Amino acid sequence: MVHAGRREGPDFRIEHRGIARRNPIVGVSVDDHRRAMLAAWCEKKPSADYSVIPYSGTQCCAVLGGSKGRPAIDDLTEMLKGTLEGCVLHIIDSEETYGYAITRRLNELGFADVVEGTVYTILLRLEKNGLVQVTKRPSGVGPPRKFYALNDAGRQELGRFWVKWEYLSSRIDKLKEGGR
Amino acid sequence: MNFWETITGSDLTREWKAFEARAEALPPDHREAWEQIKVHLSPYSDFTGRNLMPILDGALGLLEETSADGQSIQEVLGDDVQGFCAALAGGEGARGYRDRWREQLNRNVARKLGQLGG
Repeated sequence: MVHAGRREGPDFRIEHRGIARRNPIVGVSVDDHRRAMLAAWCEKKPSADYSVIPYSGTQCCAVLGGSKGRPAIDDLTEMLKGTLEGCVLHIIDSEETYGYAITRRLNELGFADVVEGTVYTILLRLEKNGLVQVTKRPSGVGPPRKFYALNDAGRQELGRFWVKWEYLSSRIDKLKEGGR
Repeated sequence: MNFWETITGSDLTREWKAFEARAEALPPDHREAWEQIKVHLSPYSDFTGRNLMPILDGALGLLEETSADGQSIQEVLGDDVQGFCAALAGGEGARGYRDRWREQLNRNVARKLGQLGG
């Protein structure tokens, strides 16, 4: 996805020379003079959309090239397993929602490989574990849809997820920075 | 579900007929996916298949919703129907017929060894 706002953001220097046709991931770091170059470079490639992802806590970020607005990391899904349930809990927390909307939200976030079937199995598990409140509402087209909202147990579980995530991501960031 | 229905499984036949009627109404790619789901779920069936009924009901509901939304089956299930069915059946820990056979084999071997004084 092209984020026009991010192009104006941190300054970039392009570290890698060429862009591979498939899976073009370009590591960049902060540099005063290359910001305009990156912006111009993105402009020159209208057919490929690029997303810019800053690494939290560092001055580096990655520019992911891809086609049709899809970032080119293919094995994100592997890394995502285990955290997807927490992400779904968070999405449900903000407002009562249903499967299709949750899938779209995850896709928008950049996880284009998440399909409705995956979200469906997660929602089933949440329901079985008593973390959500389910209401069936009639919909304009097709069968009535199940709408999901968090209950108290679900909110607790969401809190636990963020604690675990915070711990995990801060430890790994520390590893990257060479700390102990 | 009364006693006679339980032992003859006529309620199951009725449920299957209802499922197939609903599946008839699906568009062709969803119909195809339904067939695949049935195939990949069957290893997780217990003796009568009764445990699969609610799971199949849910899966069919998902197919009906997504076909009404106009989504393609690729968008809904991706490439991994087998993984989807495994997740439906209870995730990594679900016992299929292979696990049951394995347990039975192990039990028999252990018993035999015990008899032989091993």
